[in-house]
Amino acid sequence: MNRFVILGISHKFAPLEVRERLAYSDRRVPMALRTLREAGCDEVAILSTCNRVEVIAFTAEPGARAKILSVLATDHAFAPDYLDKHCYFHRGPEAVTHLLRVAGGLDSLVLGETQVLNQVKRAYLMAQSENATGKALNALFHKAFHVAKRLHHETDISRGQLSISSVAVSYVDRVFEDLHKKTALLIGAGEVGELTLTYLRERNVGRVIIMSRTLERAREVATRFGGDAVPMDLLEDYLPAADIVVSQTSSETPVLNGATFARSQRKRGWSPVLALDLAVPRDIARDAAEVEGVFLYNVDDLEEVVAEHAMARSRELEHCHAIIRQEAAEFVAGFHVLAAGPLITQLRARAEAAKQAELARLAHVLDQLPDAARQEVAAFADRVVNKLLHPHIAALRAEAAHATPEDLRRAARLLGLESEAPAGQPAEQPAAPVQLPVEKSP
Amino acid sequence: MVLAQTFHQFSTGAMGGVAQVALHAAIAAYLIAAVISLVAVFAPGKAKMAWADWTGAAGTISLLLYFAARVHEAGPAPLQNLFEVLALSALCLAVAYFAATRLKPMPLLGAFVFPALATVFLVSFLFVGSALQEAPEALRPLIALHVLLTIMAYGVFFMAAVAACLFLMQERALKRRHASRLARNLPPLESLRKLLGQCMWIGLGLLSAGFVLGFGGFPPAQWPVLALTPKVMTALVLWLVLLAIAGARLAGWLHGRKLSYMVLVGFSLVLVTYVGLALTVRAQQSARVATITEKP
Repeated sequence: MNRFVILGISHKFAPLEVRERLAYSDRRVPMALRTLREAGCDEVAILSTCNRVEVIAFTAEPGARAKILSVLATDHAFAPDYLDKHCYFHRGPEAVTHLLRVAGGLDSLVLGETQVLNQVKRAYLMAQSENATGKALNALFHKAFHVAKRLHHETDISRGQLSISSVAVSYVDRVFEDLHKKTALLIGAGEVGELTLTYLRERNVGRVIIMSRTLERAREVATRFGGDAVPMDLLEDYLPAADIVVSQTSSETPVLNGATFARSQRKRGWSPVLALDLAVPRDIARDAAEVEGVFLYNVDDLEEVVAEHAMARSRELEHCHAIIRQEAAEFVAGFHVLAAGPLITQLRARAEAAKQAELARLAHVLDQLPDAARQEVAAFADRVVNKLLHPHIAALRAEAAHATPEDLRRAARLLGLESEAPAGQPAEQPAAPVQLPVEKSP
Repeated sequence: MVLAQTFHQFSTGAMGGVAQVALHAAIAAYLIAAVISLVAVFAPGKAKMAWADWTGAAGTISLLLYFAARVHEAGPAPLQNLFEVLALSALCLAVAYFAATRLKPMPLLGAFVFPALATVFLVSFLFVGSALQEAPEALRPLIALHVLLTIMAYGVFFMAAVAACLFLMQERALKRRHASRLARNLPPLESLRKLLGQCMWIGLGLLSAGFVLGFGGFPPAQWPVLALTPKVMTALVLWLVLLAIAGARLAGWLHGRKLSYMVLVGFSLVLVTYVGLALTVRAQQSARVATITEKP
């Protein structure tokens, strides 16, 4: 169990400046997964969202923390000591509980949000496609998906104002009196941006313009929202028309800055613009907030609204924590049982081999018997083997729930078995990796 | 104590019974509306603001009744002292508020308007008994209209100043990304921007019309002399300043925060001119009374 580790940074411990530097774009994840595997992670996945970057690994490496930290620091040109100050590290049951909390939205900026579940699914699928997951992470991620569903169905944690998008849109009311004559410009057609657009459409925003790196993608979103698709290189031409700018591209440098907004504002007669930068790294440079009439919000600015949201949901939170505690305990117990799998398999194989050897030795006698009698003898041998093995297997399963890897090794030695798979590694794949429905995430 | 004595003297003066009751009711209603709306700032709720609005509306109706009674008692010139001038300004502000909020609901705007109305009334007690400068009898209706339009303009400028204050508060809160309870309940920035612009133009229009009627109330031969009086010169300077602010806004030189600050400067000038003129008139009257008393 202690081979599960999570090292990461989140909005709780690291400022946006650090988070945006550490963020992994989709294109960089495969290489990072390979590097992490080379660094000793048997199984590994990378979760990179607006609010967190986490490495979820299954490793026997005792210095896992330092090694993962070193990979992250090297990848993003950070001094390891500096990065370490903003990181958290969980191991064993703590790591399991942490991932369950993250997938359930309990560790999110907007408590109970459901978008993070899609992002966790996406991280898992990316790791799976790179063959970086195995039996242990498959089990853990499937448990996380199951728990997230339970939390959303059995509690009220995800009711009401849920997402960063909806919180962001709540600022619209403080700037504009009537949205039906307003124009919203979506830059980058990611999941959060699209959700923001959905909320704006629900509030009858007049016109929608969608810009994306690929015009085809922009057209696809524009068709769904009844808007206009525009190529990204016309951004400066269309900016003056926008009253609400929602930006969520995967660009590693800002796509808009103060000078661009100043030119646009001059053309607009300095009427107010609400700029919602939902991207990490940020899409809109900080100096844009200094331009008159531009009201710029990034993901960190939503914290105050979120804090109130969390207060209102604190009662639900207790219920959620109880579910997570129960599910984490079940997973830990179940995982230990799975860890006894190799011993059980070997025990069975050894007994089976002994049975077959004895039957082979009696072959000349058995050949003279009628078929019915021969089958009866074979069935008798099976029953004897099963009856002899049953108490040992039952005891192994029962004790494995609380056993450490060392306990399992000791049991193997007592039974005269040489475990091929290292103790603590599940023998069977507990949950087959399946294709999960997941939307494109930022 | 002084205020109570003044109020007692005023209410037991030349005023009739209906006017007295209506005035008392209006003052009480505005004070209650001010308290309710201030409570609503710290513990927001639609019900509280609705109560404040209803109480304020009752106050406005009472004030209208007061002026109706005064017209009935005093004929076409009910504005016989500065108290009444200020009361009419308050009425104009209240009407501007109700007109603005009926067109576009703006939560918590009343929390600034009702206390302002209550304050205007409290200040107005300082001017009980100060008579207005008299115009030739034949031209009285024009002068009365001039006074009415000017006072209405002051009321509308008052509203513009309130909108400018709220705009600055909302803009600051949005820029600082700090959403206090008060800021979250302020009207949208865009509504305040529009209200500010509309009040500025309406106020300027009323003031300009008031000027024209003011000159029209006197024979043309007196105009050069009239234009050189401190009162008219101050008013002309004020009008030019307000015209410059409006022009700069139209040309796009003034916008957002700067425009709000300039509107507040303009309103401060209105206030200074208003109070300054009132005090000048009062001083002139005192001097006249003293001269008459000294004569054997």
